[in-house]
Amino acid sequence: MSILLENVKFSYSNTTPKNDICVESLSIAQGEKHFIFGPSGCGKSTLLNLISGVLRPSNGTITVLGESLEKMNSRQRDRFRANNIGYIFQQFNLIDYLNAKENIALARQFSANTQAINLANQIAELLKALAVNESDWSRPVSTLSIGQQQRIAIARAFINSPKLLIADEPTSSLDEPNRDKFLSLLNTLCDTNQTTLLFVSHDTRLKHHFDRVQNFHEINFPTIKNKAVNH
Amino acid sequence: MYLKLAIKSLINRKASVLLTIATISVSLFVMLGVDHIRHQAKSSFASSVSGVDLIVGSRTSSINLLLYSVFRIGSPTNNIGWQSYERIAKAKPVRWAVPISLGDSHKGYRVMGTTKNYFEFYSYANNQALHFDQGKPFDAVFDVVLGANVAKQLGYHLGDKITLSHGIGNTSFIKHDKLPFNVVGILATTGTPVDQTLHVSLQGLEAVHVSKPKEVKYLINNPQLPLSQAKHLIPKSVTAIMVGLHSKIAVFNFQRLINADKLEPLTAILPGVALAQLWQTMTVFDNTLKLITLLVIISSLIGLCASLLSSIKERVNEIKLLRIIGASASYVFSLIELEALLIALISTVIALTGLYIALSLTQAFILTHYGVLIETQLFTQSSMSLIAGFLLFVIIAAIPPGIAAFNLAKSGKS
Repeated sequence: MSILLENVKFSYSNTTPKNDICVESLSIAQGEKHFIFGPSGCGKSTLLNLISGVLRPSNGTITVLGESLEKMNSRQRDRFRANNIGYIFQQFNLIDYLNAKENIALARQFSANTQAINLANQIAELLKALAVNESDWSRPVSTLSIGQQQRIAIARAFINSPKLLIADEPTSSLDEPNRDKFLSLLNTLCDTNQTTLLFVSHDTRLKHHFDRVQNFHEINFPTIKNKAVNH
Repeated sequence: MYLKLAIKSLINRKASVLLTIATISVSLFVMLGVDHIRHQAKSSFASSVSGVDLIVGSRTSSINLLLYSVFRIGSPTNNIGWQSYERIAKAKPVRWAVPISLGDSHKGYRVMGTTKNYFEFYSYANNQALHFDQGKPFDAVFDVVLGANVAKQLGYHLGDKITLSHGIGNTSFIKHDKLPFNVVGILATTGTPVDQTLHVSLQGLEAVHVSKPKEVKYLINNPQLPLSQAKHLIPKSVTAIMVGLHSKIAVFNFQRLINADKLEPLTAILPGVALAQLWQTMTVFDNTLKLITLLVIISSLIGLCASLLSSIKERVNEIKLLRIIGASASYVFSLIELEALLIALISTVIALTGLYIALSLTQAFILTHYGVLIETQLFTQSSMSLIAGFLLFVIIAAIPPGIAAFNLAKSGKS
């Protein structure tokens, strides 16, 4: 199993149940391309933050790539995330005052493999594979198009050869031709790196790209927790 | 990469960062400048007189005597008789005694009557004797030796003729213009009040105050009258006497002896002790200055804190991104601290450079107008410890924004 969640509960605050997470079970197999859809603001990102170890659940166990997150301290979880998980957002994937190369190198900084040897080559290979013009590599990313930025974000996510890639609405700011190009690039890279893909979006039109499709509301039942509290 | 990230992040927010740097630079400039000038003034004052064991004047306060005899500030309350000078000069513990007489001026600069011994025995800083840049000590009644600044500012050269004015100040109505003085010597710069002084013989000073027409006529006809032929011009009184003793151990005994003198009410002071007393009276002023400087620094650091804190709000996405690629929350905290320190270091460099330029430009002016030599050597122990303390304050000031960033990083909220 790549990801395994059991009886996971999380709440930002005790008063408002918004974005509350209550997942009885969720499992994603190794190498699987998994799609979860649900409307915006329903708590999908919170769930991803739990899986990546940025947030800790109040209850339950989360196992990622065979390792139990709650057994790690926060520093170990940060290191684990840097080494094993690639992440792509809808926007703000890059630090806009750094250029493409620096953005990608920054992701390497926090991983176990901090050696600079071959880093430049690896970055160049990735950027070439993702069809980013060489003239754009050293320009501040804020001057590049959204499509370019998302492709650099993929390169950033793959620089540490992650075993798990989490994508949070990465295509929502792209138009249709760019979106399809983006998804096929992502799929190819996941296949070559044997990376498990967890893809979250509100856009159900994308589901034919994936091995397995789940509705977020069939995974998450925050109301159950509330009912239990009311009784 | 860590440093690069901080630098690029600062460059990315250059407008607000530059304003913060400007604020901190100005306050650092004030802090370092005030401290530097305070120290320089103190050491300049302290080096104004050395090698003089006692200064003797009429009965007055020790600070007053020090101010008028060494710094030419204020005026003597009373003179002391020539006999007292002779008695002191002949006393057993006394190695040398130099009488000085003040009261006249030339274009705002004080004129001091003294003897040739003055150039031999008076010293400043670490027992540095007076040196002649040009010429020699006075030999004739109407010879004058100029302090370095007097010659420089008024453009005088050897051989020039100058006239003295009665009393002090530039606008004195009584000018001793019938009896001009001849510039025979110019002293090297000392950075002490000596630079602002014109030195003449006691006889010369007496001569310009002669009022009997017959005697005046005689002097007008003999402008080259040597000192050896002017015994009749030896004054009846002098302003103060500088005394050097054979043995330092005798200082307190001899001071008590003079202070208890039965023939004339005299005061003898130890210049070093009087200088310390002078600084003691300045303590309140000194502390007020320190407090103001501290407040200026604190206000600029609050500015730094506020500017960083507001930047955190703009950087929510950046922090979220750093977290997701594996940065710990403490990394984010330390990044904010690093940015604050970079701002502080840049400000320090600007303040030091600015101060150096400002001091270099005003050094000559301060020396001429206040007689204080301000060195441009800024890397003193005092300024370095001030900067170290300041950097510590910066680290503290960056804690609130650091914690804000830390909490944001922990929460994972966007």
